[in-house]
Amino acid sequence: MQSLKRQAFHHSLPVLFGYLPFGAAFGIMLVKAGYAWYHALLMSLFVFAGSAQFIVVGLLSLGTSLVEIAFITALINIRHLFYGLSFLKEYSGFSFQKLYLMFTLTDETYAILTTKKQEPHLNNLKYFSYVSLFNHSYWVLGTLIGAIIGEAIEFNSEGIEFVFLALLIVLFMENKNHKEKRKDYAIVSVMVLASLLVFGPDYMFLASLVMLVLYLLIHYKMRQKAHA
Amino acid sequence: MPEIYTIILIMMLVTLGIRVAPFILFTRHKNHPLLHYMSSTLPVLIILVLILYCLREVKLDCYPYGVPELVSMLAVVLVHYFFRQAIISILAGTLLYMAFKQGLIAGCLLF
Repeated sequence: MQSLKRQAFHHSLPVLFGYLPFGAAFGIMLVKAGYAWYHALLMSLFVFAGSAQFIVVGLLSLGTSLVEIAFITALINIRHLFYGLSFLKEYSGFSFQKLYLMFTLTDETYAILTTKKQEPHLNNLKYFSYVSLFNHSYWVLGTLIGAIIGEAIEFNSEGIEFVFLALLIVLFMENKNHKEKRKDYAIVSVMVLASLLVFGPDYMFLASLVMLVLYLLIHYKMRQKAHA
Repeated sequence: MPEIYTIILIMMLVTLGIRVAPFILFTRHKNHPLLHYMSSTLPVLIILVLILYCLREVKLDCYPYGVPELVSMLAVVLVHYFFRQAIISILAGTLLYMAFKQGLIAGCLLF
């Protein structure tokens, strides 16, 4: 049987292939926006939130205020709050190791760990830590590569922000159980489009999120009644 | 202190706060079915919201009518459907989109 570290590495390989281009694109974007490679490195190291980092790069050039940046970071990352729910038992009780595990619970880390922890020999903090650490380092590495390339080479990087949308599509496709959610997708899409029309591009995310939570609450209540 | 460091600090605190929150807020309710329902459905729906959010500035009524985005997104879907490798799918769509944006596709077509 391979060591936990070996297995963790194997399981995290798909993440390596997602984070390298994504991290590199972020590094390139931040550097092209006028910042230094070590700024990109610091952000990826201490924030480790790809979606938020990507969106913030776009906002930086618009002179967005600190409060707005904090707010949008919170909104975009709010889904990570629910990831912690699946690990309440494993990560509770304070230790710096557990704090790191909580900090690194991103979409990809969550996806791997929730699947793999069902195997008894992988259901331990050591395995979780290896996977989390690998994923974190891939992200930082990708950013570093991109930032250095961005500083060293003069090239037209127009359109590179598409990397984020591409990753989202891949993440969406990698999700299981699409069948029963088709109606949800349709309704959510309509809600988002309505938010865009009513609230405009700046507030649509917040509006969509509020509507989404309300929708899920109503859906849940309806399901409860149906089962009663 | 230059602003970027403040931004990084704020983003770090917010992100860390959100990721640590469930362990402070929800420990008492860890088996609540509502939380379980949310945690299984919310993430993928938020990804859908994010996808649409990325497309918010796309104009369908004037050149290029959202064609670069549509074609590139389609490329990602198709490549991922057949190869299931994140890096290839992401690169394919992104390179195609960059080619569109930098006028390479239009240039080729005109030629």
